[in-house]
Amino acid sequence: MTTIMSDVIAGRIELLDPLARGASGSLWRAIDRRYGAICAAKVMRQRDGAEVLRFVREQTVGTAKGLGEHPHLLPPYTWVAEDDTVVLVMPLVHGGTLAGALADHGALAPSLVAQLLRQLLDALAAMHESSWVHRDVKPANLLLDATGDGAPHLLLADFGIALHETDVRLTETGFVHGTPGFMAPELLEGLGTSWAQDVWAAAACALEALAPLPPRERPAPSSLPQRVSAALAGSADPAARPLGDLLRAMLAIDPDARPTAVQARDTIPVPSMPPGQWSRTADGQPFEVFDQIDVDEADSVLHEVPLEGPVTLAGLSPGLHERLTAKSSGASAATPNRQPSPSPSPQQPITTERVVHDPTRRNPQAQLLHPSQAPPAPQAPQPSRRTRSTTWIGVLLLLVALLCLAGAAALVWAALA
Amino acid sequence: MSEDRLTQNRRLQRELYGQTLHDRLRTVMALYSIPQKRLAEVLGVSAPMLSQLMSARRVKMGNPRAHERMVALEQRAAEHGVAPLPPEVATAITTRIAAQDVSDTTHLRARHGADTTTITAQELVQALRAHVGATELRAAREKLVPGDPAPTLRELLEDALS
Repeated sequence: MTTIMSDVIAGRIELLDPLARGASGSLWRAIDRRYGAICAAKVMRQRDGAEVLRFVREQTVGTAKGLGEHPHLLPPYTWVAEDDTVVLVMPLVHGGTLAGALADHGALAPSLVAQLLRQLLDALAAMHESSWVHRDVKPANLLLDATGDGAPHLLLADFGIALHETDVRLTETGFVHGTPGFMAPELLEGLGTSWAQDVWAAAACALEALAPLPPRERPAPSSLPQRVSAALAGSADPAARPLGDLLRAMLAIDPDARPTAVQARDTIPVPSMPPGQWSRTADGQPFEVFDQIDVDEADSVLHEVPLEGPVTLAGLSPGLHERLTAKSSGASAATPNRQPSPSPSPQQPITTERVVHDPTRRNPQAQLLHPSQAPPAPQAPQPSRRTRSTTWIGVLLLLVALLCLAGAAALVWAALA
Repeated sequence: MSEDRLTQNRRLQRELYGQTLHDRLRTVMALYSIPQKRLAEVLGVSAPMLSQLMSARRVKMGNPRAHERMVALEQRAAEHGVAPLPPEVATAITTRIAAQDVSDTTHLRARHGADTTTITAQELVQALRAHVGATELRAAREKLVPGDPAPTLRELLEDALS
């Protein structure tokens, strides 16, 4: 994907500038033209997107509320696909990741780590309750809202390898999914996936925040409990002792011996003091989450998709299914897509829309799309740009002809009267 | 933030770093002819954090590795003895120092039981160069020459010094 003037995927997602590059795709700041709002777009190859598409499709199924409404979960709120590219669309989080915050601040105070861990465990509790295992809990997947020196707000993201417990496909033999350093010991032994591995990884993240290691150092999983003790030894922070006990329990070698995410979360008290008292680094400096997105363009006037998803935004254009219904019933086929940005690209007629699946719409037809076949219809022959402009000229000519007719009729009427 | 507070922060920075971080990091930027944004990438901190440090709104570099990288940049520049550095030398050094964190990005798959910490000799040499000053490397090598008790390690050190 190159940064030519306007990269619009499936007629909906306009890529603006790249934010990060990961193993499975690149992350962009983008415009969701459906809402005319700024969002984050993860651009992936179809094959890398299969698992996460399953998650996106199913997270709203069977529960009254989708996981996207959880304050500490940031799943994609929709996806679009074009050719072999899948784009996951989510609200843009401004404060970077916990990994970035640790690079900025170094080690964090136990009381702050406890609160971040509480938020992470709350997110995991919601996932586990819906029988999902995240499987890639690590500091780089923990996003932070840009709260400055206020109380930090953590969001668990990147569901690229999330797995439903009922899923028997599990992993390919010989491979284990995850990130070295944040994989529970039973995974390295080749044992199965369970919620307990997320609990272990959450504790490993907390330890990383207490005592960050250089990138390449990945000590044996069994050494982590001792490192917790070493990191907290001699700390005057009142949160240090209970946090140490909790982390050692979460890091138990035996997955069955670990507390559940709910149990672990409930051992950590909600802070009663203002964040200035506890949101600090290990050496007592204030902890700050800066806005990491610098915007100096004209599109900064656009509002953003809120963290709880686009449900509160009025769609600028009707959803795909509404438009298709309207089109198939023969009415108003010429309603053009309204363009929120002053981009120089030609207006896209609705025929360019390909696969757009939006779970927030709760449209029963949308559930019929299965990610493994996305884009489902093997692209009904797309009209080329030339035939599309011909259509437009045709429509224009028709309008002109109608106007002429009306004018002639008016003249005749005037002459007769 | 009040001017008094900033003055006090600058004084604290002089105690910690010899001079204010503004002055010290401006010198590095001039030596390598790089903008502040690139300096942030090389040090491994975010642009807003570097801005806070250079304006003395924040006193201390929280991440000890960012401090190490700053010192490494200064030492490597001093070894070349010219200011500013020739562009290709400057690029080579900053790339090497900035590259150390690249390996920390996601490995989504790792083979069962395989050692995921393997690094090549070349990476090791680069890490030695970046983290340990030339004087210390030279002193270590000199200790290893008599009797040659650790030939592999000595060769690594020589590679790092070459």
